[in-house]
Amino acid sequence: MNNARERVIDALLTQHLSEHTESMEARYRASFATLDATTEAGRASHSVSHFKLPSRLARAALIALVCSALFLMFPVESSASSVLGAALNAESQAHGSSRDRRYEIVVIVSSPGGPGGRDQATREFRGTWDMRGDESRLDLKLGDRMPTTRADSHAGAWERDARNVIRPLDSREIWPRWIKDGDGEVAIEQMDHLLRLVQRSYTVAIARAGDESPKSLRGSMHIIASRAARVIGPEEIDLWIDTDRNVVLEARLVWGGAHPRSGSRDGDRSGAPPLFREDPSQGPPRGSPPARKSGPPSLPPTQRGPDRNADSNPLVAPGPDEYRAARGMLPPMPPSELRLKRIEPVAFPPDHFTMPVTTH
Amino acid sequence: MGTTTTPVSRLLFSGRPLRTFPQVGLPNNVEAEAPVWTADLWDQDLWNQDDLAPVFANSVPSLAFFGNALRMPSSDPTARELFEILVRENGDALLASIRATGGAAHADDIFQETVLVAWRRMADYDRTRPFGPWLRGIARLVAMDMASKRARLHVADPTTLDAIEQDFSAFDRYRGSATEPAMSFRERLNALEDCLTKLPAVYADAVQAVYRDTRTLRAVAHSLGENEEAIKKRLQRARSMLAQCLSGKGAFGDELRDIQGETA
Repeated sequence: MNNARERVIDALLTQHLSEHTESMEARYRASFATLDATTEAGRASHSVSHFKLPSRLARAALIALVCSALFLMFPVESSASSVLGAALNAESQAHGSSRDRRYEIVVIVSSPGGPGGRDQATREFRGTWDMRGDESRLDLKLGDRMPTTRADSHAGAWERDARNVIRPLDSREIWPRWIKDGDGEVAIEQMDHLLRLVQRSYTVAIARAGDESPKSLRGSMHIIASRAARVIGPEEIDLWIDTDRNVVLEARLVWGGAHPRSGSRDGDRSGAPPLFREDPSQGPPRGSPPARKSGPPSLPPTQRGPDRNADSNPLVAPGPDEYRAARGMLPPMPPSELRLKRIEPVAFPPDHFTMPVTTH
Repeated sequence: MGTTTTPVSRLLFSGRPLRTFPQVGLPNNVEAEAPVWTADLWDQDLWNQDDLAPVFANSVPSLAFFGNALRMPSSDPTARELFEILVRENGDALLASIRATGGAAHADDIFQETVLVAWRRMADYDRTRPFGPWLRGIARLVAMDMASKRARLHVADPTTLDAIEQDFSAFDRYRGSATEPAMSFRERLNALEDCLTKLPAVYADAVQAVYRDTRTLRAVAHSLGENEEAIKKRLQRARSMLAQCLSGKGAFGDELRDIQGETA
């Protein structure tokens, strides 16, 4: 059998035995959402570039007028797919640019404990996750210990452990395979990978962030994604997206059903606890969320936040995950929770992602 | 010994009823009364995608080709609707051909990008020709472009790519013993299912474990108490048997290619 025929048979077998109507549907939905988002963005820039007004002020006034009219005429929430598609598009562009991006990160790791969850120990790693183009760098520390740094730079991946020992890494070591994208890459390495994974393999519900969300995030779009297809990843992903700029403000990834969620809807409804420690001197963590009064009418409290049961038919029951061990401080098994919060503006030094010269 | 002079396409498609498509709006100026797909289009040589040829000629292709010709797609909602129908109709074959071309790892990215590029290039689509090969041609370029940027993505060599497309084109036309003129890709895969039932159990089990249950070679080997290499060989042999079985059913048009070769 020639190589081509073998490849064809392999592909036909995969299509016949591994792909289902539901997984193909998820793929179509993701593709068309991206297409629509891209087309809309292109159309907008196309029309603006051909629209000459006497002054910038006049143009701004006209845009404001049109936007207000649209809000009055169509007070509807954006669809999850278009919000996701637009954010994916923006994050992909950021991935391709050299703009610096930073997320504050919290990784909560729980040991299995004894029977019935007794003696379950929880450890909380905190740090930052920095990106510039396709380079990334993660600094994590446990309590007051020295941080461990892992980075994937153009010159190669490297690690500086808590004892300040620097060594080059096989890039596969950077993250344990907690979240595995369809193409075998670890989705968490870049935000657009994570969004693509959500588009592809998760069932999503969306609403304006309300009482179910921390105060600083209210007014943004809140997406709750439940794992639907057979992928390695968290059961549930919450995303708060600033639809003005199409950026992910915060994300919360939850593995397993046994762990209590911080800031869950079962908590204090009058003010869900923040996902991150809020620094009062900084005010809101970033930019201003879409103002409620100029946005769509508020939903009644009982309807705030995406309906976790909406569109929740499990497409394919997730199979058992196979997590791969990665050397280092983080365990091969997934954490109970991982949280990300966008920090801006940031500017890293030019050598921020480069492996430091070792003096050992 | 005399040789047949009957065109291969006649052998394949004689008596095949017309396949028509709803006349909804298309993005460029097309004549409403012209049929979208007809049987006689198959009497032409398989579409050779002339407009894509310059890109294939480059060893490192660039999607700049698409960018230069990029036009804003029509705002006509029916065009978007038709495009979606066409993509859905050809999506299974597209995904399979992408996997055959560049492996499974990057298939989703290539699929998504292909849909995007196809929409942008929709104005160039010649609707008298089948949509599937056009879409797969774009996917091939997208895959080659991605491979030039991603070290982990390896696309098959040009000869293999041509052979893969020949197989998929033949499979597009395969009707088996059915008289139904318009079989979906999924329906054509029934032939593969039939071949699977004929595999000896030891091979069938390996195929089901790896492809249907998506278990790793290591996991399968472990559960069977064998080594990975043995499972790999077994799968290779199974694929070979399936290829023979499908070829025997005419799914890849091998016998017609032989006739074509003799005629030439």
